[in-house]
Amino acid sequence: MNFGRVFCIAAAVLVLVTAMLALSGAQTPSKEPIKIGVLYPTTGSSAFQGISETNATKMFYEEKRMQVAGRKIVLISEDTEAKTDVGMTKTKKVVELDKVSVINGYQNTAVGYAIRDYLNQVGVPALVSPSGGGFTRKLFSPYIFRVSPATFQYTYEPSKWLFKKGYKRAIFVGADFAAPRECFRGFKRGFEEAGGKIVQDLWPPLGCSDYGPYISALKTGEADVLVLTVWGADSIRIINQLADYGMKSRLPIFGVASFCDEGVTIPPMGANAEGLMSCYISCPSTPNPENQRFVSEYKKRFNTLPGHLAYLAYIAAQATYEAMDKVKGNVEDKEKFLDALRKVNFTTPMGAKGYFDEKQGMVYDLLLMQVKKADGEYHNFEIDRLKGIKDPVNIFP
Amino acid sequence: METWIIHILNGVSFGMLLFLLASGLTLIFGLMNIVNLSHGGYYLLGAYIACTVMTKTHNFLLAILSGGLSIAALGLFMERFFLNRLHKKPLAQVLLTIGFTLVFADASLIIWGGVPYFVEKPAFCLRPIMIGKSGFPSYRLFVIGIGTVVGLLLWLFQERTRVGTRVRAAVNDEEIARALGINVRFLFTVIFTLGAFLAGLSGVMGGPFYGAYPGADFEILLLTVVVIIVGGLGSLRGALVGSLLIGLIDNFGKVFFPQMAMFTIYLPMVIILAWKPSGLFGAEN
Repeated sequence: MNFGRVFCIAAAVLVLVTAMLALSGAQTPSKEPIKIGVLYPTTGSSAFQGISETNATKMFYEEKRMQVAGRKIVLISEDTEAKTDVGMTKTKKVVELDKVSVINGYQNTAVGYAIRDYLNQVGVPALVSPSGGGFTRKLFSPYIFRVSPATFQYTYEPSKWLFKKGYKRAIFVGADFAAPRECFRGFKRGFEEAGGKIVQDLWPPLGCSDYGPYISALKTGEADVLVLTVWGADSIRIINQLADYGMKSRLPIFGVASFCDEGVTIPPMGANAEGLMSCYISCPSTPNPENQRFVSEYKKRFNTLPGHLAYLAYIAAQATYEAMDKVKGNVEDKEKFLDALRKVNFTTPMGAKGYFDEKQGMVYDLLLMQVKKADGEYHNFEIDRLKGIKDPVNIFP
Repeated sequence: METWIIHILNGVSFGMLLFLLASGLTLIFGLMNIVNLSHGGYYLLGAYIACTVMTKTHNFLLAILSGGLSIAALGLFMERFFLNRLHKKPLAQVLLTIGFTLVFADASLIIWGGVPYFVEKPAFCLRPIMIGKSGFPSYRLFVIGIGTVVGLLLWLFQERTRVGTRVRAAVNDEEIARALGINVRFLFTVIFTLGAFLAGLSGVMGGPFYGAYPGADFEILLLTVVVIIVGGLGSLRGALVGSLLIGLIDNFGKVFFPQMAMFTIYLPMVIILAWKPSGLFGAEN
């Protein structure tokens, strides 16, 4: 063997290794991009929500030119399929393989609850949007910030508003699973405290195809309002079927959360959407400048109006950005970053103050809306606002 | 009195929708022993196509024809090029047809997006029919009408035509049927295509009612399989009786036993199977 050749190869390898070591040592953490995990269900039955949430998240960070305090932002998008096992796998992937510094995601409550222990253990902050109230209660973790309002939060105070509006007797219809059952508890307590009475409650199964039996059983003569906690395809079905039976004109209807969702549930309801009242957190028609900018930008990019869940994802990104900016991009200092997340205080596109309460649940201005016809189309319009509503953890532990 | 009439009509109309769904599947499953689990996918595509046609033309007849015929063409394609290689291989048929359903689901997501779609009702069905003081949806009466017509046509086909006789012969004993000169290959393709047409039609008819959205395909498949198991595989009479029974039990179950709402469809299936394992009108084999 030629000694000279061996020597040259060894020298080359040594130089290469030294160079790599030197370069990796020379890269200070603040020059590497910040990785953010974006975990929403982009396939399966929640696909339309997950896709709009991912789009809204991307839109926010792109508006900030994919960088904060001089550091680049890289988004790692994954599909949770609204399934707990898939959500867990994807979460582990973005934490362990991609090494994300923070997560924006989790619209499905079951998935959110499933990853809580893991995120708490690995210490990766997450800004989440489920509707269940667990994260401000028994499932609290210093790393998890709930951006969405929870069931008790959007039913307790609004029920009192409904009573004050003159609706004194209510029929409550909810899909039979955890979130509507919590809504019922929140609504019933608030409504009865104000002096109202719930004359009937019905529980069709989730995904019920035929609401006929329930519609025929409604005691319309004894009530002033019909309160609905059904969402997604169920809300469209029940409204269309109520109209089919000629019931819609007999009783005003009030729904909560994403019951009347622009671009999602309102268009398939068609003319049947007129007059529907609802309570949640966003309204594309509200004329304040920041909201109009948000809505027109979203519409330009994605050819549809932003629904409630897209708005929530946008707020999650907004809160994340505020905190990252406050720590000047140094997300590796976990204590400082968590502290900044806890102390965020920004103005949301709807003109409300966005901040977390002591249980790390976001405080909201709840919008009371009604669907009206405008220029031949049906849209939500704000008719009232309940400001600064916290999750009533003390009343509903 | 009128509440009872409304309840019965509710049950019958839901049952008729189930019959439209089940008739296609029982033809395929029962007569040809082909496990076609893409039936739900056929429903979904039929419903989506009908949505698009109704939005553009507002012509329900055109929606029925386009929904039914396009799915028939899809069924023909699947049978000719894929399923005919898997004769008497049920596990492979299961894999293939479920695979196709997943492909249809993803394709639908790309073409129509994930937002739930509901087919627009025909113009003459927009106002409720008054029964005493209560309103009843006229579209549901239309579903009862169409279901009855389809049932009659299928019965005539099966019992009163030469083709129907040949199909029954081919299913009963394929070898002898071939020996008699019956073109079994061609007949099976015809039956499969007809089954697919019925599935597409049920998508169009169910679209205004049930809707089209990701996940509806498997929900519909489950409902349809329950009906044909209760009615007995391969029996058209079984599909009709089974679907009406399930429709009525589901309706009255929800009215009188609301806590059991989750089980009103599956409980009758369990009870009937315990009493008659091959279904109400199924062949004992």
